[in-house]
Amino acid sequence: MKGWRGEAAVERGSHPLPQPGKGVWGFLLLAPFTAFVLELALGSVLIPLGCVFSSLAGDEDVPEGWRQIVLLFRLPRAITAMLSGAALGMAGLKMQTLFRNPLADPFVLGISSGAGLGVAVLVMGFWTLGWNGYLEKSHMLGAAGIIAAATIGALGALCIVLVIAHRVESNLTLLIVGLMIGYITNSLVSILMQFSLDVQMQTYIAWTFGSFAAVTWHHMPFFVVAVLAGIVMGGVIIKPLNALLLGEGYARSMGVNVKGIRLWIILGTSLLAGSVSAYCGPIGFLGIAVPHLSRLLLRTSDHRALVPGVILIGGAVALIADVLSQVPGTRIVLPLNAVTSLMGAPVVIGVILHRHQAMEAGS
Amino acid sequence: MNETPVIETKGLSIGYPHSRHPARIVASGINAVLRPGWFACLLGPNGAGETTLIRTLTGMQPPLAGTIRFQGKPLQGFSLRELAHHMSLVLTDKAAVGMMAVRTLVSLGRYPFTDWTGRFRGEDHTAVEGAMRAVGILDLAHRPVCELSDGERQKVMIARALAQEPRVMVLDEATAFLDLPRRVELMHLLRELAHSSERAVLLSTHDLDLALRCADQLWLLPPGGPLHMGAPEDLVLRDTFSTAFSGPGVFFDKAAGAFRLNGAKKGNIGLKGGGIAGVWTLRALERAGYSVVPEDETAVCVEVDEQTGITEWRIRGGSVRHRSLESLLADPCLADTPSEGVDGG
Repeated sequence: MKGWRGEAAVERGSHPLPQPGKGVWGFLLLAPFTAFVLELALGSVLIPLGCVFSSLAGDEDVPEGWRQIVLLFRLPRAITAMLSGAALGMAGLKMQTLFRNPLADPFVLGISSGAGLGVAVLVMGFWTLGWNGYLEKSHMLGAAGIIAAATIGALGALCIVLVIAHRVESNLTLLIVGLMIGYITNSLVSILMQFSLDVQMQTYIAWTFGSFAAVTWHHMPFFVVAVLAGIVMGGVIIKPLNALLLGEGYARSMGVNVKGIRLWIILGTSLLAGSVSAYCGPIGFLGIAVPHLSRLLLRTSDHRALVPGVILIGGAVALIADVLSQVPGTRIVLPLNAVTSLMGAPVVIGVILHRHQAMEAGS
Repeated sequence: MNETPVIETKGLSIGYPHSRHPARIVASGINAVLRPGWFACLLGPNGAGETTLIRTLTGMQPPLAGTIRFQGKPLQGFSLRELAHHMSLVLTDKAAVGMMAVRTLVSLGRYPFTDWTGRFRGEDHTAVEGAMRAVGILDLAHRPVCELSDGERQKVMIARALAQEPRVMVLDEATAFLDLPRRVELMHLLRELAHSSERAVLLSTHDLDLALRCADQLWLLPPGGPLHMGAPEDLVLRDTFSTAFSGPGVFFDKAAGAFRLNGAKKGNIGLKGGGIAGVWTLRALERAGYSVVPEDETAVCVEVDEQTGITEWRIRGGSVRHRSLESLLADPCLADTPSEGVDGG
């Protein structure tokens, strides 16, 4: 043990910041595509890779059942998973940078809680009001109705956050207000649950499990446009995001319009987190773990590397989580949120225990 | 001195406006000038409002009254981006940048000059390189910022501010948390940066000693104002310095140019012996609360003896030879010192 501290210091001193080689980027590019193909091949029915590619190529020789599964179910599901992962990773990264807090995630502003309240009001509240007959007749309890309710709920939470963001100067205040909005909406949901039937509660709880299966080809264009727009909104502010790493004071002194950028970040994050919550439910832990994984792999807090990093890693991790949640080859389907938490929480714990510098960005 | 001052304030009042109550004025009557090539230190007792003044001068908060002219034009007329072309800051905020190479952080200083993609042109590279060379951190360029010592980190932040190629660099307590050698180094660096170019540097600090020795100009801000400005030595001779800072228990010793504690005096002691050992014996005796007077004016006298090659101390007439000042101060003979005619300060 003698002198180990000194040696460690010397060793650190002699090593410059290790730059991720081309290998890391190659891996990051390959990972989402590999996971994408796995998602198409694996599920309750295992489909050989050759048949997967033939189905995608429009080959008629593939058994009709497999073709249907790949093209109608798994392909939209894989696209949804990849986009959701990228969206949550991007949204989490922006929140961690804006609030300089390693525990911030896309939902700290209460956006997904708002979406949850929307869904709860639809499946439980309207029943209480005696509108159930109308709801059933109009198929409002189907995927489309839930997506609409979640969107309205998320927008409602967003409006409150925007009004407050316009009034307060401090990011910390905004963070606390966002968390409190989350608590309020969650308690409203609990109250609604108190007065609802088991069936309704189950519909709601199933929504909270999260799933990438709800987005059919019919919904796909809206979802794709929303997520891509959100990602572009993040991509164009890479430069101010880097400035924000130094804190608001420094950012201001370099000419960053801090309030304007903050508004832009909130809008972009809400678009990303809101659409994922609306279409797939409140998917936890990806938003917090993916940015940390990116910092760990890319060994930098520079957003020029992190933004493409979270998109690729987020897509890959979401796809892998979805593959695992379906327990390939069985009829068992695990709640997606349970799988993402099981994958994400150890990453966060590992980062904290190692006091990794990746954590420092935002502490 | 016909150059336009970089910063000039007239009748400035600083503080915090309230919507319902009258504004809380922190200090008023601030008339200050900062010229190109000057290294100025802003000093004030804790709570006098240096941070508020820095925030006001850098446009982070509006003045309550009076005017601030920046390079001859009203400060309010500058947009954030324009101001960023002329003024850069080193703040007390900890920059939690994590795994970022020193060079990348310094490059952030080019923010106001690059397009939205942040792409560097030739002059941007030159500015970053020059800033790192001026601060002496070229060899740290590829080290991650999170592994630097506090002193190195502060230099990196100064290099970043320098890469912004400002007309004026404003530093808020940039020397706090550093050890003495690092502070001295940093003060000299800042002075060099001001003198070697026509750049003005304004540093708020609590380091009176160093500021007295290094600054071209002192800005003294007593609680409530008004601000006193001038060459450090002038302020000392005019007693501005002692008025602004002396409090119960502390007074400014003009002869020594340092603050002294005026604790209860224990009595007069004579001192025989010079050289380095003499100087430190004097300091030890003064710290212990004795007044050192010419040796023929008092009965008790300490003699420093360096003849044998080893420094030894003896109280005149006593037989004990002390090998250290610690043991000298513990000598019971010192306690018998006459204290008649000595007042507290």
